[in-house]
Amino acid sequence: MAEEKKERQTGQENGEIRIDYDNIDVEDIMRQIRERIAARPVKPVPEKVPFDSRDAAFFPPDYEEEAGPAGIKGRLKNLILRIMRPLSPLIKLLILPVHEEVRRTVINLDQTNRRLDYINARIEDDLNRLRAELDHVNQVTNERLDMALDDIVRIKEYSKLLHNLSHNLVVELTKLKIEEEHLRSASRILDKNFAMLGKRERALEKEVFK
Amino acid sequence: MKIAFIVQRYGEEVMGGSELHCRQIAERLAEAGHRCAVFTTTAKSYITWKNEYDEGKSELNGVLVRRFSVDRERDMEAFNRYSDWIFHNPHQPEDEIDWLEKQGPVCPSLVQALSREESDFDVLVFFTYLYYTTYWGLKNVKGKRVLVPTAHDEPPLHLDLMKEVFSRPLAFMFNTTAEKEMLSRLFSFEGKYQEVVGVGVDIPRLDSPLFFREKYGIFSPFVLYAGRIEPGKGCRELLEYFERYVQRRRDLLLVLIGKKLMDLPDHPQIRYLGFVPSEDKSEAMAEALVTVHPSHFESLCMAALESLSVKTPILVQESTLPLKQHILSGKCGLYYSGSEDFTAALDLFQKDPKMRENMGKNGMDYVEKEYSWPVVLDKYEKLFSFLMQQEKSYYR
Repeated sequence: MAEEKKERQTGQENGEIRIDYDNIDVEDIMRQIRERIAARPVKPVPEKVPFDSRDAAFFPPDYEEEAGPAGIKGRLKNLILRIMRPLSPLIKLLILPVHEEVRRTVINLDQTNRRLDYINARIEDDLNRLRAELDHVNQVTNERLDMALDDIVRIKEYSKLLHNLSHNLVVELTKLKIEEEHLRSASRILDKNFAMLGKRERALEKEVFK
Repeated sequence: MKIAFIVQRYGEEVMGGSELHCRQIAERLAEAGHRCAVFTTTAKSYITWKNEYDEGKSELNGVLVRRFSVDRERDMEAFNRYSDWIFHNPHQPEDEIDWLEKQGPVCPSLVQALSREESDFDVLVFFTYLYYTTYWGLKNVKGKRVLVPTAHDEPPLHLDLMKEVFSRPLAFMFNTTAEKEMLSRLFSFEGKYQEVVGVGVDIPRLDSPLFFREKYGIFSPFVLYAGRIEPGKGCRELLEYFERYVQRRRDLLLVLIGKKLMDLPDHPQIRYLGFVPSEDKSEAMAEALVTVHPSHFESLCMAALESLSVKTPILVQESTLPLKQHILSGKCGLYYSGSEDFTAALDLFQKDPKMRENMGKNGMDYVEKEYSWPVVLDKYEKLFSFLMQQEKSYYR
């Protein structure tokens, strides 16, 4: 099981070198690199070619000059070349700048393509970021709206309660007012009774001390 | 504690490896509450030792800087001729002293001031074994002498004169285990305090590495070289290998940043950006496929550690043991010893992004574990405690 796990961890993403990504062994990687270098067939060392003379856009990496002309085809080619030799400076004059121009254009186009790829990637990144920000803003706004709605419902309930409370207070105050009036009337009657009893007291005193 | 640092050049404009190393250590120790002073020269250029700073006292980021003028400028051509002779011919001890005078920076006033004022300091830390200031400074003081050799295997190490340099200090602070082992083969450090410490690396905060690409118009994958661009740093070999590499592969650029001291080929896949701000450098490192360190002579290579701190693996010379050791200990890059290795390593980095990513992560972990500032400063504090205890036991 452990070996199986280790096998899974061991990478072959580069197609050649075996690497245990969880525990990189640099010396082992270098050993494998050097074994591969040693196992390569020995090629004659190529002359150092100046950049301008060959370009990857026109020559594939392993491009090599074809062998010289042979047989009838070769003789024919030689004949044509011989006929055209006087014109060769003119041909070179016409061809070389074009080649150079095409080469430069291809390099420019390549650079432009890279630039466009980069800009597209940036735009895509920016759009993704904006989308994420919009989502976030929407989410926050919705959360705040929900909270505000909750507040409104709660305030509505409070208003109802306050309304009931006010109504009850009005009723109670009315009752109290009636009660006050009633007590005032009782008080007035008691005053009158008291005054009458005073008069009666004085009348009785007169009769007694006659 | 009062600590004196002795170094051949010092200043914000001085970007040499050991000089910058010294400045960073001094500033961090000053920040940690120590009183740090630097004895240095008024030179800015290590090629001429021309007096460019003002003589006297100044302060830089909390560190007192004492500058002394250099008596004479260096004639590089004569020095190289003399070096060539002395390294390959039998000679007398006086010839080696002559060589040291030619090496420079000849600054007797610095040595005299150091000798006069050494009692004001608890520890004297010398940076770089190679120069006049270190040799004569070590010879003329009696205090607690520490040497940060910043050495790599090079001919001057084999001069007899260097036996004196390496016998005087009481403690050594090496940059890497490889440096310590290399020096231990040449000199005896028995009974001396030894520590592998190096320099701390700040992990940069990168807001958007893509700004680097936009700013400099680099949209292809690229290999980065950051440092002085000169043959002595292996740049000629690097350019040759890279030109050979891109003859068949047209999808990779070589980006060079730093001071240019040699001509560069006019090649569309080689871009020289000049001296860039440190944020741009960090972003370039973070965006690079790999950073390459072609020098055959390095004792630490801060650029390599900076690259690892932003999770970019490194590609180094196999013969440069300190750098190879970073790679083997940190599992954070590949090494080469010829153009075929170089080509195969670059191919592998391009073809295997998972390997690149894992090596980058390993590199960052390695830097955090070995070269973060708390670790480095802790090692210096241990050194100071050791020296203080030694003094106490001496007086008991």
